[in-house]
Order: sequence, then C-alpha cells, then structure tokens
Amino acid sequence: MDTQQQLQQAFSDALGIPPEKITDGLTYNTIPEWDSTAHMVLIAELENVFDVMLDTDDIIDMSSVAQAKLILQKYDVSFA
Amino acid sequence: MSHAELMIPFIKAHRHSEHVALMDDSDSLTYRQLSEAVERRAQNWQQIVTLHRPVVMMLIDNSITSVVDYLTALSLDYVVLLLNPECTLATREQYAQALMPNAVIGDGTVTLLHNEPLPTDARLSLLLSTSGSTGAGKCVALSQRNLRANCDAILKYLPIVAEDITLATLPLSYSYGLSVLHTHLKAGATICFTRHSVFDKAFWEVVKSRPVTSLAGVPSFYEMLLRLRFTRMALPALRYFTQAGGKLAEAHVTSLAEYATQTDKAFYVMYGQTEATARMAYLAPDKVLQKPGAMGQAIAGGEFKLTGANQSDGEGELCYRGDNVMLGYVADAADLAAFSPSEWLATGDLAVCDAEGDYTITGRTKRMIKVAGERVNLDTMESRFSTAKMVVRCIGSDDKLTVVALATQLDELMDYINNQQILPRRNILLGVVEDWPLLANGKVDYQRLQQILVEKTC
Repeated sequence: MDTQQQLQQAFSDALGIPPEKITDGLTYNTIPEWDSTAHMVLIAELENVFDVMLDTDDIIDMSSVAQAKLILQKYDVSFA
Repeated sequence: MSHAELMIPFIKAHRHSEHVALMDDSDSLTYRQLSEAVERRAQNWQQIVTLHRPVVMMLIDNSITSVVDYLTALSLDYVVLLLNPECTLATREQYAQALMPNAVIGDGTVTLLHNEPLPTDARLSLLLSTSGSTGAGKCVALSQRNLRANCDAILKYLPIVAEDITLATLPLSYSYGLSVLHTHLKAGATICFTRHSVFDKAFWEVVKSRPVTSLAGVPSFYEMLLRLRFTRMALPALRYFTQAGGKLAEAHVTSLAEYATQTDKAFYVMYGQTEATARMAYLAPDKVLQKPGAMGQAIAGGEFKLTGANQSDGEGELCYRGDNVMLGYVADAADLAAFSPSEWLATGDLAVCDAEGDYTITGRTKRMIKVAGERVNLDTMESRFSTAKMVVRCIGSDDKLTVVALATQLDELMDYINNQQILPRRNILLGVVEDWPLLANGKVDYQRLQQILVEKTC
C-alpha cells in the first residue's frame, strides 16, 4: 500500500465510509460520518498508521483530506 | 395574574444585575435583560396558552433563546418535557403520542396542540429523557424541589463564583448540562455557548478570549481534549474542570489530575444520574491522583448505601437518598397524574466503598451500555430490532454495541443497520452465531454468547 492508499484506508476506517468516497475535497463536519467523535478516531488512526504525533494546531487544522496531506507532509510523510 | 411579579427560578436574586448571564458566538444578555426577556415571553405565551399547568414539549438547544424559553416555562409552572433538537422526528412523534402535550415550544415560539387539561401531580415540573437523542425512552419526572436541592448541593462543593465564565458544551436537554446552567444562574455567573466543537480553532479562541474559567464534560469530551494535547495547553484563566456521565479511563483521569496539579487548577470527578436530578457524588480534587478510579462521597444532603453486598469484596448495588431523588418514571400521560417517590434510589450501578468512605463504581446490575455518554438499554435495543422482524441479541461494552444475529438473517440485518439511524455506525459491531446459547431456563445465555464471539475473533 502506498501512502495515498494508507491515507484513504485510515479515513475509511475512522469514518466508517468506503475508501472510494475519500476524496481530497472531503471536509470535516460536512457529512454526518465525520463529526467530532469520528475526528478523534481519525487522528488516532493517522497517528498510528504514519507513526507521527500531531500537534494541537495540526489536529485542529486537519479539516479536509487535502489538508491532512499537507499537514502530514510536515511530518515527513510524502504523497505521490 | 399577568401583573403579578413572575417568580423566575434560579435568577431571582440577580434580576437587576448588569452582569452578563448568557453569551453565545454573537450575542449576550445581562441578568436584567434575561429577566425582562422571560417576563415578555411569559406575557406572550399566556395569550396563546390559557390552560393552567399545560404539558409542553420543549426542544432545547444550547442558545440564549432556549434558556429564555426554559425559564419562561418554569416560571409559568408548565410541566416541561425537554428534548434534544437532534432527536429524530419519529422520536418526537412517539413522545407526542405517549404524553399528549398541550403545546410544543421551540426557538421562542409556542404552538398550541390541544386545550384538554391533563391531570398532573402538583409536584411535577420537569421531564427529562433517559435516552438522550437515541429513541423515545421513558422519562424521569422531577420537581422544582429536586432542581433546587441539587443546585444548592452542587454550589456547596463546586467553587462557582459570580465572576466565572463557563462554557456550556453539554446539551441542556441532558441533566448534567442542565445542572451547569442552574448552578451558574443561581451564582450569578456567566454561561457561554458556542456552536463550535473542540476540533474547531474558533472553540479555543472562545476559551482563551472570554476567557473561560471552567469546563464540564463527559468521558468522550475529555478523550477529545487529551487527544488535542489539552494537558500541554496554557489556559491560565481556567480554574477547574468537572467530569461525569460515565467512567473515564483511569489513565486519562490521572493525566488530567496531573495537569490540574501542575497548573494550579482543580479537577472534579463526579457521579450522578438523571434519576437524581443530576449529581449524587464527587471526589475531593486532592484525592483524584491517589484514587483515579473512585467517584467519592455523596453530596451535601445525600447519602449512599450498598445493598446485597458480597461478603468477600463488599461490592453491592449502590443506593442513594436525598431531596434530589426523582418523583418517578413516566412512560405515558397517565403516569403524570400521581407519583409515589421511593426514598432510596437504586442506581443499577455496583460499587465498593473504601476505608475513607469513598465509593468506586465496579459494574452495572442492568443490561445497559453507554454510547457517547448516552444510555443504551440492550433489552430495549433488542425489541427495536424485533419490531422490524429481526431476531437479534445485543451485547457489548461502552461505545461498542454488538448486534448478534443468526447467519440466515445477516444480510437483512446489515441493510437495516446501514439504513436506520440506530447509533453511529462506528459504535456497532456485527456478530453471527449458528444458534443461540441457552441457559437451563431457556433464556439466552449472554455470558456464553460473549465468549463465543470473543473466541471467533481470536
């Protein structure tokens, strides 16, 4: 699995929606599955999968899939 | 009647105060303005509802106008069923059919449904749902005396002062959220609302700029805060924070208690139930590090005892008595007419008591789990599926409902779970068995069922 697939899988597991629905434009609080509780599960999942420890500001800024990629890049995770 | 001075509960002493009572993301209301708003609204409603003590269904959200609605209804001596606006239309209809309310109130407006008087016990004031936003469970009936007693007892141990600004993140339809409102109004403090969640930048801007001096939350709230590295945040204005609504993992309690100690704040671990208006116990903040699993001792005016205690470990069912114990339960309109409250409330929780008199919850007597702080009765859940012609058995632990079906009904069950909003999908696990394990008396052996599923996943 490449990092893109890992990211999609992490979102899919955390939000409980199929991986194909995880697009860059998907945004926090715009679908019922991505509420604050799911966001917490998501952060835990991303931290596990990519072995990083996110800062408060990064957790709060992670408001879309695209944003998640940008933030993870700061932690040396690269997306093709 | 309309010219007599309205007795507005909780805020009588502050009705001329220019101190801010309520605040949201864009507006605020002083105590004087709040009193005037309640008086105006009361006059309007009296034109529409002429009935004495109508039963009303109120959709209450965390907003200034909802607080005005709520205080108006209490001042007019209405019998008020508080509902979370997030509950489904089907749930509202179920309550409307069961309780036959005279009117519906929401967003400052009263809508009259019928003028037929409903016999109600003179003590009855408030009805709170026991199932939060998940389904139409039976209601807990509370009196004004219950509300006052619990409010006063909480004010005896929480350091609430008029200069405080609390952020009310818990729903006001939930007893714990409502107790935060009552106590702060009574103390003449400021209650702040925000539509932002803890994962929004704007939430923390509110916390820092007001600045917020206290927080209250259920375990999932603190799990989120810890995830957000709350214990590394500099929040100098925050004086104390409280946790109730279920057991927070001991490791989390310890992290929060350490943070509180290092930053000169106080962390209150508390215990309660809607059946006791809200609060029954709290652990003294200076004991939290030493006893991270305990919930402490009964509040002022309250008393605990353990019934049916084991000889070996002293574990028994926790019972409570005090002026905050409910009048009783209400399932339909006929139940409103008269109550015979029991002196002791059997909490359904198992507990032990240590040498210093501090209690620790060790389990539950009922088949019940909590999902995101809301109660889910496993037997009720089973009957919900059975109404949809599906035979399932429900087991699980907090935040994880396991729905077990026979292999033959699995597809149908998946469809149903995915299409009906039973609980958030992430809180539901599916299990399959070939046939049901039974006890000698023919009833389902839930312990065995749990074992079978654990063995399967191993």
